[in-house]
Amino acid sequence: MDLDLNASEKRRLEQLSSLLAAHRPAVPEYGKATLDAELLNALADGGFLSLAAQGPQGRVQAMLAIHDISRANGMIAIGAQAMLGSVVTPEHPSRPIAVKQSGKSAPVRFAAQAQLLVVLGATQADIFEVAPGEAKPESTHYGYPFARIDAPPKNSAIGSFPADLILRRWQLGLAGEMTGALAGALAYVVAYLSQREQFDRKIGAFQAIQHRLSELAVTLEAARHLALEAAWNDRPEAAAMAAYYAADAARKMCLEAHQLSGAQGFTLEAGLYAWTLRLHALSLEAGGAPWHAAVAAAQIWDPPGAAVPVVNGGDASYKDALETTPA
Amino acid sequence: MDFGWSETESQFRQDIRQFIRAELDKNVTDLVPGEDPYSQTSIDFCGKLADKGWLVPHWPVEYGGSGASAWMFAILSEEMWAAGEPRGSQYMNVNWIGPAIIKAGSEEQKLQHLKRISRGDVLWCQGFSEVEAGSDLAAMKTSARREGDSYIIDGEKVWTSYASKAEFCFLLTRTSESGISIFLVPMSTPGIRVEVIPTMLDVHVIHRLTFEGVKVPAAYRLGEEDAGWSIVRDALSDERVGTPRFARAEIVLDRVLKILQDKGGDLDSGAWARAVEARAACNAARLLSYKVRQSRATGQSAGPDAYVGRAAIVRAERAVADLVVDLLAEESLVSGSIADGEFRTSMIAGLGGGSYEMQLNLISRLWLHLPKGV
Repeated sequence: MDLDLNASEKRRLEQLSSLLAAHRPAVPEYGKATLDAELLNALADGGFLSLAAQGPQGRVQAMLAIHDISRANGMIAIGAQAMLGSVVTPEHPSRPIAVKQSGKSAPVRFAAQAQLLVVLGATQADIFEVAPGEAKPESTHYGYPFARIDAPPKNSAIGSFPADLILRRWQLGLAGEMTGALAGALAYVVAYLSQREQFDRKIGAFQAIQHRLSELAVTLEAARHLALEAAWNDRPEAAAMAAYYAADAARKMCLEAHQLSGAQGFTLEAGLYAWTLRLHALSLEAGGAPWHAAVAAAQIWDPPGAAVPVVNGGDASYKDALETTPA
Repeated sequence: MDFGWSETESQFRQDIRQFIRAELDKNVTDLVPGEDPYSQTSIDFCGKLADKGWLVPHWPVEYGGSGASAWMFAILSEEMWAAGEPRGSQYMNVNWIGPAIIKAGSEEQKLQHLKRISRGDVLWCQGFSEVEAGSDLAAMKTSARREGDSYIIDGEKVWTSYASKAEFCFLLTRTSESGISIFLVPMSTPGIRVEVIPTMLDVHVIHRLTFEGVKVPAAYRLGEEDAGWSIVRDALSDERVGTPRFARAEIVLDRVLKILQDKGGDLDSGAWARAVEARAACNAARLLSYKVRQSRATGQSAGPDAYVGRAAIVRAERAVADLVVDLLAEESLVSGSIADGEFRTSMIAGLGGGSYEMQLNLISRLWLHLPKGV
């Protein structure tokens, strides 16, 4: 057990910091987010999208990177790219990936920009090439580009993987993206309330405010460590629990960050929206906190008769999926 | 980072579990931690732990330890708490009273106290809180006035656990306007009165300690005069994560879910989500308390990690208590039932080791660096 960053992790984060300084993510124009292909290529060249293939230490480094990139508002699906890229497209990890659940027609993050579509089914996940124009963009202001896309015919899949592997890596990536955005939002609010004065004193000096910020800080630390440990052990229940905790925290943080920042926080010039709207979107991905919780509960307690809808709300369950997934 | 245990550490955990199974009756391990602090069972158990070198494994060899890592001690603490804390009040001795004496004690004090603590045959209590000085410990008034080679102690401490059977008190006193000094006081010293304060906690007994002209040799003072704050601050950071409540809470959660499953109860998805929330809170508390263990392992001060860890532990205990009480409903009103015990221990969690609100204050100041409070 060692919860301090080791020399290799520190080096990797320094390398990432330089990369982000050179490819500084811009806060996307409100409602006009699009894929930052340049950042994606730079991360692939820097080896950040291949880390997850390098055992527990590699996955921890991938998680640390996801956190920092999301905190910096990198406009890519860094969770999926860093945790799934080395599985589904190891030769070309910079190919943009989108993930959707089979049978679900909901908007999918980065579907219109993706070259690869991962369709998560009950027992396996299929990988498809995406042709330009195949996805239908949706109008949204929640931080990322979203589009609807139908799963292509199964026989056009270019590869398939066990569902449990893809699911837990997807959840790991999501947990990391959410903790990064949580950290960004909290840092913003703390900085703002440390200088904003009302009633002749800094707002951050009021105990009522301090306690709320401290609660958020504990939540962030909890979410971050759950995600890091889950990345290390790569176990399904840990990934689901980390995703659950982060999704629950994301929803709360989005509301709290704006409540504490007052009307100023709504303004585009303040830029808080860059984290909070992403948090809201991420908190809903895959079915959100209730879905992650259902997956985790099925893993931990094996509740009798639990049918955890993994794909389409039909009769397939994640529990069943695990039982029938080839080793 | 490394979230795994070495083979030696994993084996150590298994060995402790086996030892607990062999040595303790189930009705002991089913107790709410702290419920049976004084019994002969507890004293015998500590003696057996000491014989195996497991009472103070993390202490230096010269004081009865085996120089084991902070991680081995973390494992030991988790397994003890999960088994109803069979060390009783002696968990305090080994967690922070002994280490405080190792750090600040005179040779004479080390000789007098450390051997007995490491043998497991001495009970202590801590004299910290006063009626007007709870969270605001700095407001304490119990005084120690120097008279030649002695001190005269006057004042009152309250809400003190384990005092009626304790042989010694780790006592905080005021020795100057801004200075605090610590004394290691035999409870048999004339002038000390111990009374039980009736509470609604039933199993957990707390006391009032009155000191009237209690004369103790200056040699009982731990560390320099007026230097008590730095010693106690360090000791308290151990105390904050010294009770791994998450280890027990997780077991309570699993047991209650099993009880309901065995009865054929069908929990709805909302209840399962709360179960995951509670389990995640326990796991987060474990990881955040490991941050404090980490600083011990590397010989550094825990700093604000201790407050974050403590807050996470309280949250975990409460999340489990809230859920099991809801799940067992009116059954949780039955004295001694699993949910009754969990509910009451969760009430203590937010106050023992410093109130939850104090942890939040300290996180604001030392972690978030917010402007000074008003």
